[in-house]
Amino acid sequence: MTTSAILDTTEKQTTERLAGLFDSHHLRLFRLALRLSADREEARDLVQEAFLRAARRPGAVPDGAEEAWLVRTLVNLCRDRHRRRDVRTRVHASLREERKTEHPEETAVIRTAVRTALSRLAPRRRAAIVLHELDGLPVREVARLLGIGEVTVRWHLMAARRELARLLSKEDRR
Amino acid sequence: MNDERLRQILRQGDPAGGDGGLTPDEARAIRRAVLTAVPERKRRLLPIFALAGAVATAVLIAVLFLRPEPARPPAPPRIATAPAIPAPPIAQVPAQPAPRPLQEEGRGPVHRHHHPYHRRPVAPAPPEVNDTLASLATAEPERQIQITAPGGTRILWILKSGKPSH
Repeated sequence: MTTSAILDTTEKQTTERLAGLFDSHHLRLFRLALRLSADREEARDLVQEAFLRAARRPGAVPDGAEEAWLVRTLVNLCRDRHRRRDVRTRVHASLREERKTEHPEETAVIRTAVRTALSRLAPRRRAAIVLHELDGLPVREVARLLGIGEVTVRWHLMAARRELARLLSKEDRR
Repeated sequence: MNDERLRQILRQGDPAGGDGGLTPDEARAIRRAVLTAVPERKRRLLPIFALAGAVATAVLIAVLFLRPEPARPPAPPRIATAPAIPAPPIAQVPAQPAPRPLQEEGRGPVHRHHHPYHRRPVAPAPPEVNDTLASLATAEPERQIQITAPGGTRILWILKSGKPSH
């Protein structure tokens, strides 16, 4: 078998694996990205970037732990974006604009408030609270997906609850 | 605000709650972008792999050819390890050799240390007739004179007082 034939075979296997990964995980990953990011566009970018990283380094994606790898990559991407720019300010401004145009239904108001409050949290803490409270995953599963210890997850959850309660109470008072 | 109330608010205001996920078009576009990223990467890496292989081969060849020989212990003196070369047969000289005329004239003895490996036939100096005759004049009743010819032939004269010798 020639070198190019081996490369072609490897390439084909990699492509098939990536296609399988995308089909299995893109919906859940997008939902998580929506909860971690400021808006839908950003969530879509995050999902695409996470899968592109898998495509660029297919060997880095461990067999049997692909979902955890993708979730960690997504959370890290959120963290990178969080560091690069002042997301909070941008989100806050856009949300204020949304409020003016949105129909003042209770659900929409709460959604806006929750998104605003979540955007104030650090990315890993936000991921922990979202995976636990909104996805309904047990602490052990959250720890596995984020690649951190269960104690750390519990600590993040406790801190996130305290912070969210403070932020949402403030939003309620407005 | 207790945990239960917080959980209720979070679920009510779930940012992904009203979203149906990626549309089929969005999903198809992302999928295409991801899957086309694989061959691009392979094509980009192929020359790098080829170059790395060539460099590795060159280094291997260089190492094989330029590898220093393992250090050997210093060779013992050759004189100690050299097999003894049998000396050419020579005529037995009587136990009391006559002193050479050269030594009698006060010259220092000539020390010639020939290495066994480098033992070559040394052309002896031609016999010095005058010295020999002078020594004869003061000779004792019986004396020997050795002369070595350039070809290695040795001539031994035994001189006895009052008798001619050969």
